[in-house]
Amino acid sequence: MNDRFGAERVTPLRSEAAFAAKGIWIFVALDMAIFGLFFFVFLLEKRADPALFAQSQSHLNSHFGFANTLLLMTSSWLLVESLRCFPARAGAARHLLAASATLGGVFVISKLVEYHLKFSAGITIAQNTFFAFYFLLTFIHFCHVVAGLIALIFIYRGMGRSEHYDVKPFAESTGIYWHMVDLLWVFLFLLLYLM
Amino acid sequence: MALGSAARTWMLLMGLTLLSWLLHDMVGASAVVYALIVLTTVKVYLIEWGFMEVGRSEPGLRRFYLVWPGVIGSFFAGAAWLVASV
Repeated sequence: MNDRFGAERVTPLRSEAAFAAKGIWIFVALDMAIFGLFFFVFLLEKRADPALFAQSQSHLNSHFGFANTLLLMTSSWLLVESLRCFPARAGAARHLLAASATLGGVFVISKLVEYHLKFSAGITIAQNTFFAFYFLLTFIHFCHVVAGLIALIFIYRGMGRSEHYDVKPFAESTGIYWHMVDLLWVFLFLLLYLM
Repeated sequence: MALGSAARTWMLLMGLTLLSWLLHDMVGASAVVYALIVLTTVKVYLIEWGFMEVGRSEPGLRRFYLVWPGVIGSFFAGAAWLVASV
């Protein structure tokens, strides 16, 4: 339907969805730019003292990094499948979303265990430059995961309601955010644990 | 049941991550950079296949979604080049 100026009339849902999508893309771009700067400075510091970075890296357990990567990738795939099911098969979508959030929760627990092991071994953020970056970057990422999990819980509740159209734009925006969190972890895993 | 494109992409991601993890000692940092490029590119396509239904209903965003894998792919290629050169 067109308005009196001949332009296509945008329904409230579409304008809300577009607003949410544009907003989340701007946020993703800014957040990735900030992380990009962190990664660049990390690499410059590594170049300045490669021996220290290699020696410090040997204290990290790459099993944790690997497991966490699998957890987040699987979580975001399940979210993709959940959003594909929704709203036609809302029950299946909710189950997939719950599985996605559970894997995110396991990531949080795994990260806390890893931090605990580091602190138990006497390794802190003040240890050296490498561990300053390690704790800073992984903790900021950890906060992103927790924020994403809270959003997933809201979507799970929203999917249970009858008026599904309310939750769809928020769900898609959260999905984009969740993929960004996962992508950042891929960088962190390769930079901190493997390179 | 046939696997969806998202499931196939996810399996590819799993395989690439496993290879990167198992072989990083053997192949060195430069191979990790290549793994980074491939992993992030595949990941971007997983996002593309995922959930653009609402966004695609908006003309401005639809145009954006047509070009964004290329834009983001270029960004990551540049970032990986930077990683390799530093």
